[in-house]
Amino acid sequence: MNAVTLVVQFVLLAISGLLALLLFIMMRQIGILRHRIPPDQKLSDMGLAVGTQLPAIEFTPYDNATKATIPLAGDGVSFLLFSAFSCSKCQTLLEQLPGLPQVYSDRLGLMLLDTDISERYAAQLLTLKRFLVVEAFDLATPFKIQHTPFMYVVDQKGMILEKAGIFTADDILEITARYKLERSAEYAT
Amino acid sequence: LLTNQPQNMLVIWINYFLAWLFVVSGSLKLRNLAEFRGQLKSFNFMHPDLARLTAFLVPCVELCLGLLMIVLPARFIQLALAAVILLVFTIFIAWALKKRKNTSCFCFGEADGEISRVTLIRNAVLLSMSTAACSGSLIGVGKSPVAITTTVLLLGYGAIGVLLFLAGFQLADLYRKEFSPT
Repeated sequence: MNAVTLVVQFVLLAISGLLALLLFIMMRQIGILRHRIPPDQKLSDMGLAVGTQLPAIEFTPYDNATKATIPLAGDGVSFLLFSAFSCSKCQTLLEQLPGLPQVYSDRLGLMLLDTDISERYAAQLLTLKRFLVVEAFDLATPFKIQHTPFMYVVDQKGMILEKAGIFTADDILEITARYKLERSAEYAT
Repeated sequence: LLTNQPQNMLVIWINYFLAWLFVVSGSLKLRNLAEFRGQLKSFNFMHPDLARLTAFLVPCVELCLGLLMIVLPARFIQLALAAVILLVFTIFIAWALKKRKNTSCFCFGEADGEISRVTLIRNAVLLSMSTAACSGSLIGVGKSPVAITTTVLLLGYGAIGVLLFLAGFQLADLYRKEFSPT
């Protein structure tokens, strides 16, 4: 193999490597975008309409403790987060929830769409015991849940103030920060 | 005695291809460790603590095996280990599909999307390649020394093969999402 052949071979290798890398990055980005953006419907179009009443304002915790009613704390705004242990994106969020400040977690109802959670997810539930946790499998249809995690922000009468698809705990903080939780009479800033 | 026999080169190329694949897969899993851990937990077939440990160990093993296959190419033991790992992954994907576990794979990071038949076919192809290379290595193919320049070229084309393979898989998966109801 002479020197020229060798150089040509390595130049060809470099060019094909660069092209393959570009193709890979392009396909990967398309894949990530396709994964993050539902094609048929925007997240903001999903769920019940803002301004409408929740189909239920009383919830039974998974451990059959005292029923909880909207508003979850004080007489102000409450947050209903629909999630599931059986969804990997939700798992990441559920691991981040115990880190939320108390002022938010008091008002956050965790509506889990799995079944038999007390038997199947006992260990994970221990980390979430400071929240109102509801086995909400039957609530997915009346609450029009088409994407998880998904959150409704409701007023003291159960009227929807805001709704959003959630990806991380930071999204929850961003939404809850728009509400003055320490003064129950005021909602959206 | 240096040899450039096609079968010899092919086994070495498959070795480097799988090596890069494991390096990429392990690195991307470590980069998305929380998501990969969440995915393992969501399968709900092992204790959460074990899932946490497995989620860390799997990418580490992949990364180490990939690096070992680059440093010491076409060795039977490494190719056999690669085949076993791919066999376990393939069985796991088949099980998840059978159980209709609608969950993300995270085999190659976030873009991987949900486990589907395309994922199963992809792993079956990889398993076939590793088994073929392993069989070849067992009968001595791939052990003949090759020139250092050829080795470098094969290493480079192995990496290119991985990039094209993953891009092709991504395209097939996008096609499935857009045009297939399942």
